[in-house]
Amino acid sequence: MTNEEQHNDFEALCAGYVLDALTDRENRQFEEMLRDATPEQIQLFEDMMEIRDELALASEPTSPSLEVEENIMAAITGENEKSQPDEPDLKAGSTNIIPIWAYQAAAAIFLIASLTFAYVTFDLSETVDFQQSQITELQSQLDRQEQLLTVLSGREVTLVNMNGLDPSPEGYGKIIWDPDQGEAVLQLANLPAPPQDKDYQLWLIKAGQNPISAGVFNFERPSTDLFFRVEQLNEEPSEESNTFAVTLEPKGGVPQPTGDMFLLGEQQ
Amino acid sequence: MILYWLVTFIAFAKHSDEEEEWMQRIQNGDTTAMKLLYNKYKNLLFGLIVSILKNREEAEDCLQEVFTQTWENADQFDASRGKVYTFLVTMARNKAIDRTRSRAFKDSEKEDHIINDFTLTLEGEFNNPHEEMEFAERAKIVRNALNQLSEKERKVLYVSYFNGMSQSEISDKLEIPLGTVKYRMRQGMIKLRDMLVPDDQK
Repeated sequence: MTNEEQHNDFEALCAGYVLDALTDRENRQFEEMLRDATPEQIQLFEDMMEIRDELALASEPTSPSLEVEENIMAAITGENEKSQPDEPDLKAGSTNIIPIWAYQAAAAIFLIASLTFAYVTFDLSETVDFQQSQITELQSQLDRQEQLLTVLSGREVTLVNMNGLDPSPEGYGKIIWDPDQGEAVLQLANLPAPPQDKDYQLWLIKAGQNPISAGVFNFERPSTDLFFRVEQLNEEPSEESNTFAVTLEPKGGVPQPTGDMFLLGEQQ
Repeated sequence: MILYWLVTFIAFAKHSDEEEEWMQRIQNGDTTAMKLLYNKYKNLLFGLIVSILKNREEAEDCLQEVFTQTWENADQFDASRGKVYTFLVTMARNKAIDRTRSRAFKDSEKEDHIINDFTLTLEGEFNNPHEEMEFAERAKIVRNALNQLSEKERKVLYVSYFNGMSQSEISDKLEIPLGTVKYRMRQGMIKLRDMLVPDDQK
């Protein structure tokens, strides 16, 4: 990747990052880029953050009803009063006819009720959290499948099979490539999950050229149905030969392959 | 032009100091400072929240939540990490967008409504009597800059900012390829930077 391409990549991710519009992986990728960013890139990031905040000024200023201010002031004044320590009322104390045991009983009942309420609330909250995480997971699976179908629906797609090499001979993979759209689908099967500090990286090797990175991929459990959308394959195919390879690289990927090669396949 | 930016900067710095002082007083429980802050920001924040929620009643509830939380969490504001403006605008936007993601809001089928009439906020009047003077000048510049983007770039930025959508969600909603969304978002932000950030600050 040339310096200009890297800068364009930084700009594109930066715009998405400040608008909170990237995937988790892209967010991590950008945060890594930011760690090694040049002063100009850091300035760009700060400028874009400021511009994002200024987009609020594009909305039409509108006056809320007076009730809102009254409600806010009532809420914060009430809290203010609550936070003031109560001064003991000596006069009231001298004429108090309610026995001490009545206060103690009321306090005990209140404590038991509070504990029961806290337990029930905690239990419910756990159930809701669990169901929420299931919904999020299903939603992301659905999103992923829709994205894959978009690539598969391309007019001219090319299939490249990749075979497992020494580190994992039982592994295999496929690339379904749509050069017109610059996108592809990658299948990784029977590969071990990468260690925490590593990612798998996909490479396109065109005849007589250095390998071109097509993205990094990660998963937690080996499987035969791991599909990924490849968005960084905006390359013209070589007329002579196009080879795809998957290597294991340091987290976030590297400009040129350095690690073990797990899969290799050439376009027929 | 340089003189304009200088004057704007000095005016902004002065108001920024004043707002920081209000926040300090709020941290100490001063309700008068809270009133001052509310009256300065209520129209801007309410306009922002209405643009997101498209429902006045719910927007008022949200605005109330923003300011009561500002009062409760005033000690979390750190002037060295950002401006009062950023603190309030970020909180207002996040709270409004959180509400659009709630089940109850989705059930009321307002989501598509928001996407469809996003242009209303852009075409609003520039000389609005509800606009705080300090914000009015800057708002005019920001709106003019947005008007100079292509409609497609502006639409992607609007849907992202006012609907809190990710790039892939925008791609689905607007039925355009993801790569196009990324490109338009980048182009839009870069053009806004060129127009809104003075050259000597870049």
